[in-house]
Amino acid sequence: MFQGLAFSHEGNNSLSAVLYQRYAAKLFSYVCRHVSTSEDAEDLLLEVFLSLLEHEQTLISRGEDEQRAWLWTVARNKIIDFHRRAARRSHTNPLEQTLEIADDERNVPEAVLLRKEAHDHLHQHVQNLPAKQQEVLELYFAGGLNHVEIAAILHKREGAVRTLFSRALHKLRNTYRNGGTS
Amino acid sequence: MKDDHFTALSREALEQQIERTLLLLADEATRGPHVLERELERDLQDYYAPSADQHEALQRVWRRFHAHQQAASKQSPALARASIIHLARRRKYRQIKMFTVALGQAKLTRYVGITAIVTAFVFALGSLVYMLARHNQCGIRPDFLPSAPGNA
Repeated sequence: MFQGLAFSHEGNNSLSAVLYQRYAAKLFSYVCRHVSTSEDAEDLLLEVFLSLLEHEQTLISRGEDEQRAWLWTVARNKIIDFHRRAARRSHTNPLEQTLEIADDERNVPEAVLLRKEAHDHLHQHVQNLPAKQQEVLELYFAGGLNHVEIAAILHKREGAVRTLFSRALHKLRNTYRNGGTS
Repeated sequence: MKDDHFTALSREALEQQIERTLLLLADEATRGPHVLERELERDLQDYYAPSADQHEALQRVWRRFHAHQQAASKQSPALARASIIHLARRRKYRQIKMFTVALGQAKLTRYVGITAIVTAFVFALGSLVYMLARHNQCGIRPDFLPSAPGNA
């Protein structure tokens, strides 16, 4: 997926290098869906890994699952902070809207637009799902997180996450049955 | 006329709906519901998968991160040096302070010494003056002096 990149920097085996190798692409893709420009997504990804640098000593003793959940929690918080700052600047967007996927296609990064075109039908149905269901689906499929990790990130019970996930899949399955895919 | 148009449209829509349902039923019968589920899952994974053209952006972020990392590691020895300088300054300050205190003590000792010498000198001089005065008093009043055996 993201092999052969030159960020190993001559045998840099630090935790940050390993986690960057493993999760940067997924995290970047996740951040891209929530911000308006690719530059903003790059800045946010950098912020996530700078936070990692600060907490490297704590995280080094944690398991892989915990490290992954930590990264996604930080990324999610950075996105919320980013939109909070933007809302404060513009005084228009309420915080609740910031969690929803950016719909203004004039500002969405090109890669995301291409993805939307390729999965136009699915994209429309995903967009029609409630924000929390979208988020659970995204963390599951984009982040590769399990229900326990998603529950920890969203501060919900595991059962609630499972319900959100199955409801979202059920709705999408029905649309597949009724209308097929693109 | 309107009713005919409506009936025609409804019939057409209904036929399309039936045709689609039959197709779906046939599709599900041949492929099974699990196939649809797998298809949905695959499409979702594909929809959320990171795109291949992120490579350059990820390289840029990594370079910036690496620069921060190096700056942080360079900053640490500087901080250590700063604390050494700080400690050295404190030590020097303490030395200056100690030197000042020693200097003050030396001055005090010297003053005490001089004062003691002056006091001793004044005391000796006073004693000498007193003895001379006493001697002079004895010279003025000879009756006080013991009389010679021939005078008694």
